[in-house]
Amino acid sequence: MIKDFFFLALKTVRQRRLRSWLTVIGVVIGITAVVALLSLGIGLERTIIAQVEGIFGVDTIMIMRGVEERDPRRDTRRGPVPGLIDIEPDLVRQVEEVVAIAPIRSETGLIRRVAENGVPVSGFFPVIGLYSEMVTEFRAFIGEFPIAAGRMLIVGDERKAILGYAVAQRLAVTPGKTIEIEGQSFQVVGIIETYPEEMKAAMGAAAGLEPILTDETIFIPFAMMEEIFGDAGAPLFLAKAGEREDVVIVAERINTALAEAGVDGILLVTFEEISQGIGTMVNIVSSFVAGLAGIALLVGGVGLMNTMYTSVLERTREIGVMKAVGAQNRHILSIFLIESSLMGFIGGIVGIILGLLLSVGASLAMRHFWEFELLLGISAPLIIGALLFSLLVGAIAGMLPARRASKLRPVEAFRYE
Amino acid sequence: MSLVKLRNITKEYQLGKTVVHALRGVDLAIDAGEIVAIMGPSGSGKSTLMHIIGCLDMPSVGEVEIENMPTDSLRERQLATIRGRKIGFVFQTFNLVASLTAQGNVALPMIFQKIKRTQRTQRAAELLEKIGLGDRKNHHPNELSGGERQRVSIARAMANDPDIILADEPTGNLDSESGATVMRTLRRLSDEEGKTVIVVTHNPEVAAYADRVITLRDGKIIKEERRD
Ligand SMILES: Nc1ncnc2c1ncn2[C@@H]1O[C@H](COP(=O)(O)OP(=O)(O)OP(=O)(O)O)[C@@H](O)[C@H]1O
Ligand SMILES: [Mg+2]
Repeated sequence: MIKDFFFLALKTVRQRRLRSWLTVIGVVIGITAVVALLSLGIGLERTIIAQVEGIFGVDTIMIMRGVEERDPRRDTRRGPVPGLIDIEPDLVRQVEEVVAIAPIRSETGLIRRVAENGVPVSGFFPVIGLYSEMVTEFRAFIGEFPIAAGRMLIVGDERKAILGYAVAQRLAVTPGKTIEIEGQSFQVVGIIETYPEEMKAAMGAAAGLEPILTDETIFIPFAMMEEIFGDAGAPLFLAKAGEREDVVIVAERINTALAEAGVDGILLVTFEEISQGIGTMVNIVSSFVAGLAGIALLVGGVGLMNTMYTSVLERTREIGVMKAVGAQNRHILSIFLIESSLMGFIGGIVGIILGLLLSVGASLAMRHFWEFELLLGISAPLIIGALLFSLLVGAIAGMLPARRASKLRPVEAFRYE
Repeated sequence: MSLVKLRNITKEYQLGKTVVHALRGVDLAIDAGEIVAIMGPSGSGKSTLMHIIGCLDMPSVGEVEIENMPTDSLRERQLATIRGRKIGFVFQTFNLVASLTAQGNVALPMIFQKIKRTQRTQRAAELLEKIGLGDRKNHHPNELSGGERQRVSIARAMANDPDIILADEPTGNLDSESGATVMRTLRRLSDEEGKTVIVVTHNPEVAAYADRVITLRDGKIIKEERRD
């Protein structure tokens, strides 16, 4: 019976083709805007996550000092706290399915150099302790080390350093020269070319730390950090999980191993958690914007309601006839509800197609004009959601007019001219 | 036994402060298979009476029985079912649904009685065939002449094989030729299928098809004549 009502409604919609389309356009505009914005939002989220993933790797686990559990009574939240973790990297390396581990420690050091002419230059610069696996296993994290002159640090180096491009210039050093870090002599073995900007920012942001990769950064072997700056350990360890095991499970194992070794106050963060955080943030923003676009949809809905009211008026006689030939109130209600839902639905389909095209266009335009690679945000939940929503808008818009139609007294309908 | 029984039917309309008495105590019994013509001047209450018989409206006072079933206590759905199953309406202005073909219009009353699609189309085609419009079944109302439209609406009235056909000035918008065709069709339905036909008309020629002619004036039956 609903099927028959559907065909009745379809015939009416088709008969008043022009008006139906004009009405549908109102819905189309709203749905187009909402779908385009949400899909751009999803695309943006995917893009950011892909970038973070590129730096970070899905299989990376960050080990930091921090609070693991929420404790509302003490007003503490899950998150990092400052402080060094003093563990043997081997302790983590022994955990099943951990394939690599590397500490990262960065400090600010007083750097001094006495030039050939005897004039000293000094200043404070970031110093990073470079662990050998950082270079071999976490290359993406720390970036390509574009060596401009000299060589990279190698295993077995002790009082050797490589310098960022800017600091090398400030100190006027070239490979082979000697500098003082916190009063101790280091031989400069290499100079790094300038880093790409986004690399500098991303590195720090991803780790939730201050940006540490700058053109003024000085790298020394990790083992030297304790000797120069005191205290053992590092504020951040990166661990890499093997492919055979889920990264969350490996993180759990590391946690257990550390707890058994008596190390506590440790926070383990996986990529998944970071991408969730980004996802939530982007979602909030894009939902808000799409909500604004929803106002256009509201206008479309009101237009639809208006058309339905007009239609009820015009078809008063037809409604009377249907009642005279046996239609019950609820049948009339269904016919009109289906009619408005149908128009909402058609508006939804067209709107979704246009919205997706618009977001594809925006993504192409960004690549073309700004060379920004925005991923497409086309997803099944978005499409299905938008379709259901347009159906809902149609149904809601039709509710009152359909009610009026169903309550019409047949005799009144015949007297209506 | 009477198919339709009306007892002391009164219908009043409140128009602002004045009360319009459309019907003032009508008693009427109509037997199965009869053709009854209702005549009378404009405003005498003919349409009002038809609407009350057809369960489209309720009387202010009085009782209506259709097949010995009082209708005053029936609910909206039940009244709709009676209209759909037991009564077929034919209107002066045809009142076909413009978006549906002739066949669609004839099939419409069957939709509300939950009759299957294949059965509906078949019966609609048969009914159109029977009234001589078999070749016009895919035409929309605006592609048909007035006489043809009225025959389609008679076919529609027959859709659920009702016992009673109510026709309010069915020939009012037709020329005498088409009017005669319509009346012959109604006569045949009565003679061959035993339908009870109640027809409102101003036209004595139309009334001549009836077994009984009832004349209304000011909401009362003032004359009743039977012919043989
Ligand atoms: N809904 C209504 N509200 C107020 N008055 C009404 C209503 N329906 C009918 N009437 C009045 O009741 C009276 C009878 O009307 P009805 O339509 O039954 O007359 P009729 O005999 O069919 O006339 P006609 O031959 O012109 O069709 C008229 O005076 C009319 O104005
Ligand atoms: Mg009348």
